[in-house]
Amino acid sequence: MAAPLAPTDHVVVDGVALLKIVNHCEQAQSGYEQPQGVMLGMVNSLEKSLEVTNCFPIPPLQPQEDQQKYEEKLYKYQMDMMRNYRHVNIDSLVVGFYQSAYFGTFVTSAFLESLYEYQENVQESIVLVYDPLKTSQGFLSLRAFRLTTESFAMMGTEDFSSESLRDTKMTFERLFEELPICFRNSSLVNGLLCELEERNPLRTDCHFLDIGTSSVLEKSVRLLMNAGEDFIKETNGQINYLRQYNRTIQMRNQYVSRREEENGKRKQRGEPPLPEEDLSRQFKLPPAPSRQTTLLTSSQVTRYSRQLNEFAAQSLAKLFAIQSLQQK
Amino acid sequence: MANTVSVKVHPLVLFSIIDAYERRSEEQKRVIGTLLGNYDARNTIEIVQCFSVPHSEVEDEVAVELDYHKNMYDLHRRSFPSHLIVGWYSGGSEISETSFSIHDFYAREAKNPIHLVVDTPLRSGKLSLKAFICAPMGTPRKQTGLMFTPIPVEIHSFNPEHVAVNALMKGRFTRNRMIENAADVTLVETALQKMQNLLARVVAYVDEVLSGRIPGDPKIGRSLSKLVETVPQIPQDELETMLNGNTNDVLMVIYLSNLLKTQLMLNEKLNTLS
Repeated sequence: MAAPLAPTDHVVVDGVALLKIVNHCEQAQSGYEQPQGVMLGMVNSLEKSLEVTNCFPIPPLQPQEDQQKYEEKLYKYQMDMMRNYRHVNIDSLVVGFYQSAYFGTFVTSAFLESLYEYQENVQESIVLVYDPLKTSQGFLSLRAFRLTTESFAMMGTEDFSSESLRDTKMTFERLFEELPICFRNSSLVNGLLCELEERNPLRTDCHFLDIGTSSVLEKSVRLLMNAGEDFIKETNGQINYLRQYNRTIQMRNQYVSRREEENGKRKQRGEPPLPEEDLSRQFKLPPAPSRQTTLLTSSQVTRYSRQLNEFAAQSLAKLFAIQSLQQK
Repeated sequence: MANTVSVKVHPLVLFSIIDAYERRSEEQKRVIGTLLGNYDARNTIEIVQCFSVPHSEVEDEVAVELDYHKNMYDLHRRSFPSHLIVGWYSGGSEISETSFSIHDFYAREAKNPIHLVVDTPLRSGKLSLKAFICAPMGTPRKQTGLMFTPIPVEIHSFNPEHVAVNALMKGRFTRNRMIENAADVTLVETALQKMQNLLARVVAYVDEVLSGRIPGDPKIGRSLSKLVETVPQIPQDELETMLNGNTNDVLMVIYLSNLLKTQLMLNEKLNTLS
């Protein structure tokens, strides 16, 4: 299914969907999994946008449940929810899923697989990643991602070896593409917003101007370190594999040359040559490790560093502002 | 009369009600739905979420799809097990005769259900919302009836919810009501400007009072002096060292993260080359 992705180049999120996501992630109990949910909406080909109009949460896996039953129940749950929503005229096209990610940690293979599944059904599916911690600091953090054509094809073949990576010139940067997001409300909701403003006019958010940066910096650096370590582990695994591979090839060549020699000597003496042996069983080549994890880790690390840069930019701005004030 | 119950509503509930009202089918004049939330201490009821329930009204008769309601509630509880039914809402019309029968049904589900009325067709000129509970009235030993009595409503939101609503508020006066997601630095800039405006207003007020144009208000004076007192008095060089230290930390972290990024990119280049 390597058809070019549909021409949607931005995402429009409705206010209702946004607030539902925020509320769900706020109230979700901290369990094993990050809160996740399904998004409903429609594709607007005139404006080349994907509109998200509503969403519903997915109940988390309870510790005592087993995976199989959970998946069955989940399927039924989704069908029921969608049927009910259709009854009250809410759009019933699944356009993707949303996931909450603390500090931007979301690039895992489970994530990739879910996105692939959703994108298989509806080509324009996206995933909305929401960072609850950043939002409580005052910056609404919502990003939309989609698998690129190359990564989509790659997931289809499930072949992540080095050769295929080289052939398709796949880098970790091209795993996802980010889409810009706009929020939109209807006019009635606008009226509601004006009403809300009237009721709570003085609640300004001074969270923006908080200069206490050390805790966030610390956390980000620690995450960066961990991801970096993961990456090193992966690279070491790769190196080991290469070493083993070479060694096996060498041993095999030695064996073959020795046999040739033997055969040559035997021919001289007039004896029948030694039977051909199946070499592949004797010298088993080690299996090539999948490069998927490397891709994921590098993508995650780059994401962390970009986030850190953004955060650093705004904290520097604040610090400079304070400095100039103090000089007065 | 029972103790005054008060209600805290989250913005999401209002958004959903309006959304449901906008999506109603042709013949329906109003929408009805269930309110979900928690009972707080001190007689406050917090309404956190809601879902709409299809119903049909023919003159004075009303039929609410109870199965749908039960089904949705069960589904909802899978994700939010702590929510309870606290009442019902109606958007689109005032209280009518039929409201009582619906209220009756909800009284079986919740202790003292709240009835939230949102004025979606904007009859009063603005989008008002009122909450009622049913109170018995009438003369004892004669006819007793029920009356909807209003209770105070407050809009309450979680911190991140508040941030999201603020982000949405920026689109109030734009033409197509679309709001772009701004970068962090621009947000800081706008916040600083807001702060500057507020300070300018305060300074203007103080100037006016000093020049005698308007009488000073002692309450404002006291809060102003409290404000000035909260600015910490730190000697100049200490403050500078602190700020410099922070700036250095941030710069170092930027450098490290960029180093990592370049390393990774190099790695990728090598991979694709070989």
